[in-house]
Amino acid sequence: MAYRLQVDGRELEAQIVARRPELGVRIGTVRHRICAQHDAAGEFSLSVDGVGYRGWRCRVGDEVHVRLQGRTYVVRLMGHEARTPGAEALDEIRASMPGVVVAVQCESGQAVKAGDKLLTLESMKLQTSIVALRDATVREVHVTPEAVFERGALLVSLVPEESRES
Amino acid sequence: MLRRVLVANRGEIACRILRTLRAQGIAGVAVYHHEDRAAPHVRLADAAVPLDAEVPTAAYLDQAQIIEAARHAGADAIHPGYGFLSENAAFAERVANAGLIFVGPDAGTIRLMGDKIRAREFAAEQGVPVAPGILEAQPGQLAAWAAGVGFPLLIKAAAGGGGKGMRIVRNGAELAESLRVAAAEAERYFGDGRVYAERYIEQPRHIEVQVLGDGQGNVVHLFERECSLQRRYQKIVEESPAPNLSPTLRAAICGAAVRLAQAARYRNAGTVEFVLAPDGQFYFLEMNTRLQVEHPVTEYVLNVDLVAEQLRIAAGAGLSFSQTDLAPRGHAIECRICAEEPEHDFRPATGRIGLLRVPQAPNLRFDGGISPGQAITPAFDSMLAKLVAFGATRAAAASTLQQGLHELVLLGVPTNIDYLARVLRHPQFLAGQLHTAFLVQYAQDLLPPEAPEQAAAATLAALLTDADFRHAAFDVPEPHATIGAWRN
Repeated sequence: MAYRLQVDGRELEAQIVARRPELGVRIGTVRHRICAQHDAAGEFSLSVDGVGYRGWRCRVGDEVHVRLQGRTYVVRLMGHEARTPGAEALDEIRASMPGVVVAVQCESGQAVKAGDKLLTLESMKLQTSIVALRDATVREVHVTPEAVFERGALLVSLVPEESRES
Repeated sequence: MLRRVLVANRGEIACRILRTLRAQGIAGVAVYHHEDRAAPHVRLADAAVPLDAEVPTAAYLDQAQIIEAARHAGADAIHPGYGFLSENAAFAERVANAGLIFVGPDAGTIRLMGDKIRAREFAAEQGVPVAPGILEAQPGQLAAWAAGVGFPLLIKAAAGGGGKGMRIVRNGAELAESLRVAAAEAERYFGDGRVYAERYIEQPRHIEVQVLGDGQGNVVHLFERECSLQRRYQKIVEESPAPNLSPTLRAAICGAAVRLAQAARYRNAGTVEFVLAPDGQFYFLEMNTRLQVEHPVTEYVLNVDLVAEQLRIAAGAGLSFSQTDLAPRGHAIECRICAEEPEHDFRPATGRIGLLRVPQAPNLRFDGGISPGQAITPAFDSMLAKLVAFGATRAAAASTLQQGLHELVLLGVPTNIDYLARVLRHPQFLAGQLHTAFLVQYAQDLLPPEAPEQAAAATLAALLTDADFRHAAFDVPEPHATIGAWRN
């Protein structure tokens, strides 16, 4: 999903590009890693690309006023739109729970289309298929059939979108 | 002594006055328009009387209702604050006729100083320097005078103030049109289309002197304030003492102010404003017959309470100190926090106060009249609060104020807080090299610097307030898009 934003009047787009081990969000053309967010009565702390920030924020309608390091930003959230139906642009596909690889349906270097099956997994007696959520090139398959994996394990990585675009 | 005083104002100045009333053991009565019913000045008062008006500002200008409210509440005096009815001679008269004390000068003094032409003449008679100028008494008179004096000239409204109707004219070709526009503006704002012209001083400083008079001819000055940092002719940073002012010049300017106030047998706190030219010549600008917005800087360096002095004088108890008792120490700087967008030509902004965290520190004073949840509408002045700092030196005061601005959290409406912080960090400000075109001259330096990492962090902090975004970021499981069947 692409989130449309206006930061101090400048239009930008943000997109979630990874969820684990850290949240990855691309703003414009720059990818950021985010973790450790905490919020209490408008006060927040946040780590972006390894740098810690503490600040204050308050939401007024679709605007969020953020005070950070003695500076105030006005960010307007202008809604989000799906790029391709149900698509999420994730570069790294990780396991949401422990399990076993049942089958591998792709190989590194392979071009895949959104919706193509990449892996079949089994967790908690439930079989699931991992599908590509965007058109991409497989960079690497990190598991083999019958491999056991833990929660958060990297299963398949895709060639990141920004390098594909450049 | 006064027992009960009605404050005919709102916002920070109403709160400021109510605090002194409380400290003095005098009951404070607030008045308010319906839109302000939850405003801090209403909550701070011992009693509050609603004023009925369609338009909020009209409520605070409704002389009859305010006097009736004072009577109803059993007040013995009315403090007008600044703005609204503070320099309205008719109101001062009506208050007196109602048997109440007007905390201010008598109507005659307000009329004299309110008419810029008469005030200029009065000042000149007392030997107070005035810039060469002329009133457009009949068409063509001013143009003929201008041809002799030369340009640039400053056109002003005779009844004016606050920069309304003011125009700089750089050559003869612009004169006729400027006169026409200034007269129209003067008519619109003051109901008096008379304009006058005076020599325009390039790169002037705005220096003003705080005075207190008891109405019996006893006047003291409380030294000067530098108010050169202005946008749209409105001050935004003020300080006392004025930096880089020689003791001789300081004494001359303060002396001139006292002379003027003595001659007027001035009663109340008042401010005599001067323009100081780069060559050290100074000229009378106008006298404000009320408490000024920037009075806290004087209070800091002299350790006085100007509202308390006003009340004392109004009660007939005279001045509480003589000139020799007054010796300023240290330095104080104030900045006006306004709901506006400095990056868009300081256009006024509206919104709702969402978060307010006021830094608490020694030598730091926050004069505000706002609270979370309060709507900031175009109905009133855009000034929300003042942050004032004191220090042993100017550098120390500037540093405390910078820190205060850094820590101040006022979110929900765009403000000039960050802009003010950049002004206070500017090397020319720190060097005390001030003049009224400062903010225009250094406009480029005062733009917000690019800070991509910080902007990204702010953007992400904003995104994380969005439920959809949080859901997508944290709640959605891995892309296990197709769920297979349970296997037995």
